Amino acid sequence: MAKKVMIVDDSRIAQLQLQEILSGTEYEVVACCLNGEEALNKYDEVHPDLVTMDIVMPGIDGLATARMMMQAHPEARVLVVSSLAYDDTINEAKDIGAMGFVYKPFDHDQIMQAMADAFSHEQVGAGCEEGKRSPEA
Amino acid sequence: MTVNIMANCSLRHLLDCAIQEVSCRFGGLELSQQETELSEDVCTVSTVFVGEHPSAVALCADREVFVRLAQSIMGRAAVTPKDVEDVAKEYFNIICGKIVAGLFELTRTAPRFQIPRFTFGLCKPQMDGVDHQCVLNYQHADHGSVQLIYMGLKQNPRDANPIGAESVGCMG
Repeated sequence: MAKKVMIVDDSRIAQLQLQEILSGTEYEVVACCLNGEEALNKYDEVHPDLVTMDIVMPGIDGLATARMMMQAHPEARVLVVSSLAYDDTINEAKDIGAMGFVYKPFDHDQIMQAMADAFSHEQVGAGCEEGKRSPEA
Repeated sequence: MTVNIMANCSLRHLLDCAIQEVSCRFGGLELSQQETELSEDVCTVSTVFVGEHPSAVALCADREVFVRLAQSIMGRAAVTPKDVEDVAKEYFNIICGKIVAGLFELTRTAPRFQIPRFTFGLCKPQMDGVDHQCVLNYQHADHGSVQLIYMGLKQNPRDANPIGAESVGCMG
C-alpha cells in the first residue's frame, strides 16, 4: 500500500519537482498545499503518512505550521524541505519533532533517502543529521 | 556587524558561492563572473531581508537566461511566461536561503526574507538608508548576463525602509 505524502510549498516548481521524484515509487502524493493554513486544514482530510514542509511561505511559515500540526497530530511525520538551512532552523525543526531536513536544491536521492529515514526512525530529529551531510553543509 | 561583513570580502564571496552553487545544482547553469552588461530584454526577481542585516536583494538577468532555466527545470522547450516566473522565483528563493545561511555562519544571526517578487523588466532596488552595496556580474555562455545586487540597509528602521515589499522602489 502506497504511503500518502502531502506536499506543502508555495512554489509550484518545488511541488512539481517533488511529484516527479515520487512518481512511480512507494509514495503517493495525495495533496499539495500552497501555505500553512491550507496544510493544517488539509491534514484532517487526507491523513498523510508524511508531510514535506517548506519554511518560507506566505502567512504562517513552515516551522510554525509544523509545530501546530505536531501539536494537533503528534503522530505526524514532517520532513522539512527548504533552502533556509542553518543551525537555528535545523535545531528548531528538531525541537518541533521533524523527521528530517532536506536542503534545497534537492535531488532524487536526497529526497528518497530522507523519506526512507523518516519511516525507519521513530526518534525525532534523526533525519536532521542526514541533512547536515548535504554537500553545502 | 553589517559594516564588518562588508568591510572584507566575505559578503562578496558568500553571494558568489550562493549564486554559483544554486545555478549549477538547481538548473545546470554555469555562470562565469565577469564584467558584462544586461540586454534591454531583462527580468528581475527581488526580495527584502528583514530582521538582522536588513537589506534588499535583486537578481536581474537577460530574459533568455530565465527561459533557459525554465526549460531545464520543466524538461521541455516550450515554456510559458508563468513557467519562467515561477522558476525564477524558486531559483531566487533558494539563492536567498543560501545567502541567509551564509550570513548566519558569519555572524550567528540571520534575517528572514519575504516572498520573492518577479518583474518582466529591469527593477533594481532603490531604497533609502543604504549602508553598503555589492553588485556581482555574470555571463552565461550562450544565453546572456546576470546581475546579483545586495543592498545592505542601516540597522535603524527610521533610517532605512526595508519593511514591506511595496517599499522597494524600482530604478529601471
